[in-house]
Amino acid sequence: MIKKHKLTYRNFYFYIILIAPLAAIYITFFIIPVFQSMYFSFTNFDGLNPNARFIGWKNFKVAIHDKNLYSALGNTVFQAVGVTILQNVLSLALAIGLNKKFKGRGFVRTLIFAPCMLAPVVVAYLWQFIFAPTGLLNALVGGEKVWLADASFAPYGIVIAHSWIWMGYTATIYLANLQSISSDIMEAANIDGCKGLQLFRRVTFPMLAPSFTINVSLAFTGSLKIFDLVYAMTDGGPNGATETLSTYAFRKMGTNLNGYASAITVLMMIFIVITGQILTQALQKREEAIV
Amino acid sequence: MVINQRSNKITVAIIFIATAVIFYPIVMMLTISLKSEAEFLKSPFGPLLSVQFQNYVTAFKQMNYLTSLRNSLVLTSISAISGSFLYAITAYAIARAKAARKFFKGLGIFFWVGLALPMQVIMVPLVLWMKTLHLGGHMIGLILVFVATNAAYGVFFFTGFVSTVPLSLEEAATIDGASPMQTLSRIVLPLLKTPIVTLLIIMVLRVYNNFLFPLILLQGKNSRTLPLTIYFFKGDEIVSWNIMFAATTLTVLPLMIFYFIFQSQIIDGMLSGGVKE
Repeated sequence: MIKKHKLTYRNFYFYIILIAPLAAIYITFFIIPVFQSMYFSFTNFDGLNPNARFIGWKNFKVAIHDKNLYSALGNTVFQAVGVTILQNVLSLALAIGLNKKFKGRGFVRTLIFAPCMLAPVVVAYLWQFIFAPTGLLNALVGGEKVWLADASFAPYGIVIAHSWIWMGYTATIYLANLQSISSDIMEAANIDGCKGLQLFRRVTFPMLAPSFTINVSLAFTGSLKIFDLVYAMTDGGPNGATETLSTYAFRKMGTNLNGYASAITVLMMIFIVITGQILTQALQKREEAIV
Repeated sequence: MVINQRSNKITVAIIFIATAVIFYPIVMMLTISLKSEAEFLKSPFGPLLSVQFQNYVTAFKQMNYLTSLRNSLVLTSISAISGSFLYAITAYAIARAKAARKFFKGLGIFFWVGLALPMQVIMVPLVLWMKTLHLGGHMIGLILVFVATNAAYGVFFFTGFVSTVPLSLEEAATIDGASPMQTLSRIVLPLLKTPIVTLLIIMVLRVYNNFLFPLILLQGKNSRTLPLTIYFFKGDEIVSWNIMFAATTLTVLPLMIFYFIFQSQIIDGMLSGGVKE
């Protein structure tokens, strides 16, 4: 007993030494900046002068009346909902098709997974060209429309490009879940006369609850944070139609309203943490109700 | 049975068509990058009539490719390797410490909290803070930011795997006279080899493709990473799409090679890691 106690005591310092480097880096380069951001949100910080003046709740009061901020919030939620639906519907269909054994299945999986290897900036340029006057979409439908300059289309353009990145990834998660469903259940359902759409609704889809939870929460929270794809593809345009919370905060940083930009990122953080929590809990409750 | 087989064939045909549609933008990028200006203007989406690499030569020179590639590779490899190692040993210490259990549990929660926070929160104060630390514009500062912003995820990722290492193995090693350090380096880390490789892959993807932090922290053309270079490539001068796509191909090339060599490890790793940002 005494020996064991000594052992753990000696290890206490050993464990502290193991943790110390990462703890120091994590505190210095993440935790302190988070608090700095909270502090700056109460100041008129301009990005350069560290002696920013404390101005109380003013930034937040401005935010409450900032129409552009509401519009950015609306766009962000629209994109997140759009991406979540489009990505999950298409990839679920893909996964069901891929669940059949056929020659070349591995190759198909490799190809559809590839887009999520590309840097979002590159993806942004690919889709910029697809929607360009001489681009693919115009070649298909005929015409010379600048699609991303159309405020009623541009948000859908972003949703399509963003869903395209993650579709194969999402499908692969569904596929792994599908393959784990025991064939007994499927056969039993078949014997009971359950087929086609009914089979999907009553058996397959409920059995996919675990992957549905992962895919929906990843797609939704991921889209709430989106920055680089939007920044490079439309830069929030036309006329703010695709401006998201993070591109808006970044724009305010560029005009030396860094205190205000801080307030936006803090509000954005609170919004993402809360909606993420609600969504995950709702999905997990659903999952438990099924299982 | 016949009907079933036919419907199967139709499904497979639909899958192949869908795959072609999904993969087409990448094929489009490659074919256009190989077309001459004249051919591109005449038929941008037609089949490749003559292959020419002039666009690549132009893009290679204009984007200062080797410098950007070196920056990206240095940044990615150091961040991924040091990050994965630090996350593994930290998760190990948090999971295994017996004395002051509450303190270590608290540390675990302290790391875990960061998982919920979007990285954009730190973007406003970061530039000034890095200047204060005399790390402004330095690659090392950027590496530290990447290690820090992925710490929550990495520690969380390893915590589950550390508990699968049997405690009896470590106890046996201690009885045989191994020091804590030897137990860690000779027994625990080798057993964690698979998750370490997985996390290395995930870190490579996260760091290589990241755009926000290099954008706000790096100054000057010579320190740009590839995603940053490709972003400014369009802004610095008006380029035609065939040269543009040669440049984007050069940008994604290192990761694409990495992907087609290690595809099964990458796909499995990304699935187990829930990697999406």
